[in-house]
Amino acid sequence: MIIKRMKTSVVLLLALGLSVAAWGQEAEPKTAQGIQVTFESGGKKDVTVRPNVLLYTSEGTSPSPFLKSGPFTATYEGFISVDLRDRYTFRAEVNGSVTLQIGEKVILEGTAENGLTEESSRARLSKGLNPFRVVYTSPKEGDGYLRLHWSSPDFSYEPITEGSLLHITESKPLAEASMLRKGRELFAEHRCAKCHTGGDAGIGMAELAMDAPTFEGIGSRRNAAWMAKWIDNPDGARAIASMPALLYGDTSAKDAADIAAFLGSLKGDAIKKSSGAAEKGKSLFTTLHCEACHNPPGEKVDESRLSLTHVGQKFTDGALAAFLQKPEAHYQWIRMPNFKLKGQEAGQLAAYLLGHSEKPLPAVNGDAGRGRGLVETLGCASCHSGPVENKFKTIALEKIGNTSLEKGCLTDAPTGKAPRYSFSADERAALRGFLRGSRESLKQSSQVEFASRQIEALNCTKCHGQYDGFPHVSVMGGKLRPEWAEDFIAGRVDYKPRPWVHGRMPTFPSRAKGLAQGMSMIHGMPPVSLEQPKVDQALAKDGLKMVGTDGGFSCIACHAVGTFGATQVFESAGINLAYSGERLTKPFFERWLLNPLRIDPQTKMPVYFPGGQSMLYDFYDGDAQKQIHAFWEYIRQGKNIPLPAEAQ
Amino acid sequence: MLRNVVSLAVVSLVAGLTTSAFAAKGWKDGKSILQADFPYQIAAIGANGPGDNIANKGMAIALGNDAYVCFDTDLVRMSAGWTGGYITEKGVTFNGSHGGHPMVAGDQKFATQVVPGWADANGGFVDKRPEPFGPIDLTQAQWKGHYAYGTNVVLHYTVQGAKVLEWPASAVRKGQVRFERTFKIDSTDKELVLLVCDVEKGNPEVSGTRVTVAGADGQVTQVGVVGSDDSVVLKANGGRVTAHVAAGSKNLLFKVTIWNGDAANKDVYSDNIEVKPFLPEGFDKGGAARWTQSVETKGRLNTSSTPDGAYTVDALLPPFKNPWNRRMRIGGFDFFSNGKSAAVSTWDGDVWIVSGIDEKLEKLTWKRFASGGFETLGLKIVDDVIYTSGRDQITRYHDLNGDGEADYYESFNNEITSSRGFHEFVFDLHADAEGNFYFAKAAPVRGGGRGFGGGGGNGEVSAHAGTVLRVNKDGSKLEVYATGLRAPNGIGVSPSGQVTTGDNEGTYVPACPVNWVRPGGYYGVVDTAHRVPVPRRDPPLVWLSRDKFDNSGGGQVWATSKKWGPFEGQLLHLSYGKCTLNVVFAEEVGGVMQGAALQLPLRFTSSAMRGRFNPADGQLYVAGLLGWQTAAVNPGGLDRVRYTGKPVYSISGVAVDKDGVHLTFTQPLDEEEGSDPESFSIERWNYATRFGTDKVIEGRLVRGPFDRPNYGGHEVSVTDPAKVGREDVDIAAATLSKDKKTVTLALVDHRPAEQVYIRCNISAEDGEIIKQDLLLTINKIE
Repeated sequence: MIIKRMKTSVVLLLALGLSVAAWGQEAEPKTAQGIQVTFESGGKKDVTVRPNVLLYTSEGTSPSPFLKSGPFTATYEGFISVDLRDRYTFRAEVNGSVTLQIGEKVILEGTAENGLTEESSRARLSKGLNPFRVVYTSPKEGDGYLRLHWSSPDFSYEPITEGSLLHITESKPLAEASMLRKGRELFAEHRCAKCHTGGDAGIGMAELAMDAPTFEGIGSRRNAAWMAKWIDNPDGARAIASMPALLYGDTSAKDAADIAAFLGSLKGDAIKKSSGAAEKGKSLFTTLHCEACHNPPGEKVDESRLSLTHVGQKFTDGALAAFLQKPEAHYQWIRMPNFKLKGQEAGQLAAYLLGHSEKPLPAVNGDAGRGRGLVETLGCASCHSGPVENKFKTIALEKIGNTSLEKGCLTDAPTGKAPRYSFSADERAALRGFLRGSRESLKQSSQVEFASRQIEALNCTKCHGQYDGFPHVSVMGGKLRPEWAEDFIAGRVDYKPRPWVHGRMPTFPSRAKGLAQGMSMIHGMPPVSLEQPKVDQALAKDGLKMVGTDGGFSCIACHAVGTFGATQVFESAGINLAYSGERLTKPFFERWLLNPLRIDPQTKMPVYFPGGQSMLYDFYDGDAQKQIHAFWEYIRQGKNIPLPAEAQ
Repeated sequence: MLRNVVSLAVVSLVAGLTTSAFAAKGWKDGKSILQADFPYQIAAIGANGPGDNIANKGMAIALGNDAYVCFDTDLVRMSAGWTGGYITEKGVTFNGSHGGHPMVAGDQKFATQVVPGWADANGGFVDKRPEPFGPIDLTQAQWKGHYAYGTNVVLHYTVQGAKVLEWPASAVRKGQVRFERTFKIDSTDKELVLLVCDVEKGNPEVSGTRVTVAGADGQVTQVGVVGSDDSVVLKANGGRVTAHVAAGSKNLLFKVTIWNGDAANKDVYSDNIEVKPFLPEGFDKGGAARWTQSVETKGRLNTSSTPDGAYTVDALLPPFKNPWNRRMRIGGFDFFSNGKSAAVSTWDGDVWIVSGIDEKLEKLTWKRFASGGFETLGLKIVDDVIYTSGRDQITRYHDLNGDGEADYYESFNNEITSSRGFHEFVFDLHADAEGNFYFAKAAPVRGGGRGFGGGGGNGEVSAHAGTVLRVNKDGSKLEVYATGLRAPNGIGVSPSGQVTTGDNEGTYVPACPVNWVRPGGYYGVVDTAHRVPVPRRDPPLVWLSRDKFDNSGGGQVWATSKKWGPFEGQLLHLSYGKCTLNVVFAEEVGGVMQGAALQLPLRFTSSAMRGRFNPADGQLYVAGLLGWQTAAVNPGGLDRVRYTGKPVYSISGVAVDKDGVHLTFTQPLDEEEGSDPESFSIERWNYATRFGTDKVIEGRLVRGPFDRPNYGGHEVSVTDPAKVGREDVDIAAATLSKDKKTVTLALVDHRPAEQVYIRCNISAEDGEIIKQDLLLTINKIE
């Protein structure tokens, strides 16, 4: 994105106090999507980027893991970009107070206690970038939240369109804070606190609880020869391994063989052999979209995706199918999700993958007794649970001082006994930077940041937004009720909302709650839905009439209602309305009905209320808001939803 | 009603014959789609054998005595006769089902194989059509039309040139219902052979004027001929019974009777009780009016307006509540020459006449005129005579006695092919200055929306599937005018005879186009190209992307009126799906047509499918229905788009040349904003047909083995066809003309693009804001 109105922008930026040091008069500063936000509390600051001016902080928590809980301000700075000059107004749902400045002009100042501010004065946004600044101050008590909405002559109030808010990428405070964040994330991801114990790890940042594959019964699941190869050189087996290499020198191969011999001796329940038609497995590989994370067997290798060519070496007979059926069985925080495969499907998929796998490795002989000793002393048991004693001791977290940061795991070229991680130079710098400062943030959790990290780590966007019928992740937090989202992500929803979509939403049980709540909070929504009043039966009855074809909107042409199937699904199946009440938040439902194209330009759902007007005058004299509310009361009945007249 | 008169006559003449109530199951609640008080409904109608007995154009006729027959107008045969229940309501028109069609609902008594109902010159019944759709060779038998006379239907056709009138009826004696087909043939110089019935594995016994066939099911079929002297002889060959009309016969009036039942009852009709055959008296003069009531509605003025107030919509409220519970799903309409009244056809096959169309619309009178038609989704009035297009034919309506109701439904041309599929719609009806007719036929889209044909309720791709058709002025000849369409719900014909169509996005149609149709042109759907090799698609006049302007096109109309503001001479396109009106600016560049569409922000009572200018008030009228997916909420609508005379603030012309895009406005523009590129924003993209194995990997379209076409298309970059998505177009400069009415936008990297989306937000000189969106297709730049 290029800033077109350079001169005025610079002046305005200066007025806003933004960092413009990096640009000269002719320079074109680079921007990226999302808006920079500075959180300030107790005299400390943290800077990050958020997709939108939407915020939710529960009472007694902090909006940033780097700040203590307490009263705070959030200052959003950047640009709002529109593709055509037009007039816009803004307003906010807020608990606290909010000020909005566009260019040099403050257009909205409001304070509300769980309420709506007044409408801003009209702002004329120029085509391209308009300097944009919002300051939010949290309330004295209660949850702090801000949901800034905009509207134009073309659309009603809604959150600012995804991608319309931008920030300058070359911002020093942002770069520094990002480094800190990166270091904190690496620290957790690499389980640093498992060896460097101390502090209160485990009750703060969620990832500190991340486990590693258990040694219990590992000998039944993994081939010893593969384990030896992996232990000797984790980096050789996958592009980025979280597990460090611990073995050095000429003895490393033998050490690895001994460890593998020991692990191989840890037998668990016998595993049934699997079988299945490889052809069917291949088609499953496609329909489940495995290629989002894995290189399809036999195709060009893409470094960013995990290879599957070694599965025949890694898994013992039948273990691959068993793993595919329940990847989290022996490793709760594994990134591989559970696809709820039937036994037969797992067998087919395993047959397909094994058919393309490299040949099994030659057997390796090792001294299991010596192997046990190594496992107990090298620190393996710090991360991996199992029937071993952990005799490994190293410097406690609180004792790691600035002088330790060039040593051990963090030296540029580790030698001796130091574990070798696959850190890049930048990553090492980030870790050092993080450790140099306060590590208090490890004791704090930010569900927003947890969800954002996990969406990235789990490759959610490799499917969502990429394939027909897979909704964008970016809308979900404001759309789905967190309770339902949690159940869905955890695999506890017993139906498929979009049965016509190829593919299957896999489950991530260990992360479900954090993801669901965090996604809600990214959209400024509470992590737990507010209690709703009882269904208004009079309105619900009108809603029932309105979904029908006889004098209604004919919703049932595309939407099933409970057991009553949609009557005219024609490339445009809609979700069963009996599911909608438990799935959706009311604000989303209202926006969706008012103009679904504003949310998904490719949707086949028609716009029934153009210009906010209903063409059906028989209900509420054509009042769109009232009609939508009646729909809502109707669909809220969920599984008890009365069927339309057409069902009789 | 006349039926009763005739029946009484029968009773008085024939002791022992009685009539029963004229009603069928499913009619009792008065809400049924099929009518209790009208003698027939035309649809694709299936019978229970022999074999796959489908009448693609079947007229299910109620004969009284709870007896029914189905007359197949393609094959000129009686496909079946049955008692104890009419037809099922399956099918998209009736119960909305995507797939399937009505079936015989009662106890089937006789049927014929799917072969011509009259033999060819050699006495053979072989179906010689190139495919099992459309009418048989007209020299063998030609369907001409029918009289609707009270509760009676008199069929009219020719057989080997001889005029035949046939009155199907029924009689009952001692509880045994008999089918009676009375024929009037003035003269024939050739032998004519009627196929009476095919009894599966039948064992016949011929005895004088009676044939008794024992069926494999243990039932007996008895066929008789009455009143022919010796000119008509019954013969039987296996289970097939035929009636042979001798060559040289004159002034024949005879009756073929068919009874079927238990052997024990076979002698019920064996007494010599037959009456002399007759046709209902006066059937060809027009019967008493059947719909004497009319329904009045009051229009609603100013239901929506353009922001400048120059155009406003007035709703002519259709009689949604009417004494017959008929649905007002308007599929076609046109004005009579006085402009005060119009004829309206509905999807269910009714024709209504609405009168009282004036400025205030305070008293609109809706009167029924005709019924029973086969999905009449097009209507045209020529010389104050009503024509409709339906799946079976173009029908010309004759009110023989001037009582305001149709008496004779003439088959003006029935050459069109139609399979049993649910998506065999025939759309719209227009005429050129010479009087030739144009209409379009949909392709048989499958029930799920993807792909075409495949049999069963999905139908088959027949000769006319997905084409524009032309019928010459006198109705004697139908020809395919253009091919390659999917669901062209509406066409247009300009005063000079230029044909246009819309279409509906779907398989091979990446987005809704407006096509500038040339004779012999091909418009993209491979399955309905009807030629090999499949040619290159003629570029559309303009594409209309789904999110912006159209997801399901309606018809077009040319703004021929001088009373309708500054858009005179422009093409107007309606969107069925979005229920909107678009102005289309068309221009020819180096022999290629291209255009731009501008949406007028008006809303209609229902969808927008058909447009006509009223010859009296010069205003545009728009009609539509709610039948499949659309933003419409009312079952039908008829609205007027009235020019109020206020100044129009709008784009009124678009042209593209080497210098860029020239946008002409109706008003002089503010000088600063008119010269500011920031008053505009432009995006562009091309369309790529979507196939089932396509993948989008990291924003790039990766084609699979093209195994099966999918629904709709991908939007791809104009500069990099594999890149999915739209691209911004930078505007180098905006230049305002001297008269301040035309802005020329010079574009960076100006090149042809299938879709260019221009938004403008600009002030007129007087400060009024003009905020409009345009969709362009740039096929060529010169």
